Amino acid sequence: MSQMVWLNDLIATNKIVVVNGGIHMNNDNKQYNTVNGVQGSAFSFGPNSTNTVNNNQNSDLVDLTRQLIEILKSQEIPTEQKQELEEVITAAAEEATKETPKKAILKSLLASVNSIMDTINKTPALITAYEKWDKFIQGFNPPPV
Amino acid sequence: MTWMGINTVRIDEVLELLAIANEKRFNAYQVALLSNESDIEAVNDYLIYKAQGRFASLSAKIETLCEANNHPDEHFDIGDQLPNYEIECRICGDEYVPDIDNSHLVFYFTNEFSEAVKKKQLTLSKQMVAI
Repeated sequence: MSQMVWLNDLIATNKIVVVNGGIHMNNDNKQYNTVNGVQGSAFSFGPNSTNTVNNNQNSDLVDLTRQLIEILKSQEIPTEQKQELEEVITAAAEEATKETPKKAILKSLLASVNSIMDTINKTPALITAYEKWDKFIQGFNPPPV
Repeated sequence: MTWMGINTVRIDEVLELLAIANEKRFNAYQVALLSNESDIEAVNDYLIYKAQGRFASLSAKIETLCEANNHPDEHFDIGDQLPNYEIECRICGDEYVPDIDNSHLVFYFTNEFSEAVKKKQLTLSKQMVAI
């Protein structure tokens, strides 16, 4: 394999992103990812269907998580709380984007994020980013049976 | 079907041939060469697309190269962090800390895809014998 697709080239062209040291795909290949003309959204069909999540959502969540963490880093809150929040946000995003996310773990992580958020002083930018992220990540939960 | 200037049907055929040939690991350059495509980036995008989602047929991995001899060494899953400690090259024993700048993207077939392709090949062979 003499010719290689280097990771730093993929990072430079935004095909791959590094979030907190973890290497993730930044799926901007939406031109290939069309299902009945629906792109980057949830879709379902058939009377007994469950919502199937298009994998473009994964890259959207990675982007939203990155934005939230960037805003979080700029907040004037204790470093310890900042780090704790960053860790739990990242863990929740990672769990949500797994092929088979564990609902209980995700729910617990989201509850942790929420409880820490309740204890800190939030700027409007952080509130907006958090609400957007929280609403989006909730979409990864399968509907209750 | 040609999308974004690449023939994805031809690429899919090449992938099936590679799976039948038990090729374990490959990258966009090899697939592009075998499918007569010149746009490596588009081929790589297509392979990445095939490595995502519930029905992925490929598995993308990050392969680190050792510092001393650039031997292809450890594989890491997407989402993993590269170790920040020294690991030993399985080929030359060089101890190195994996570096993003000296890592590249490779693909493997999922077990499901490999099995399905081989099953398809076997069915075709039986049909040929029957004829």
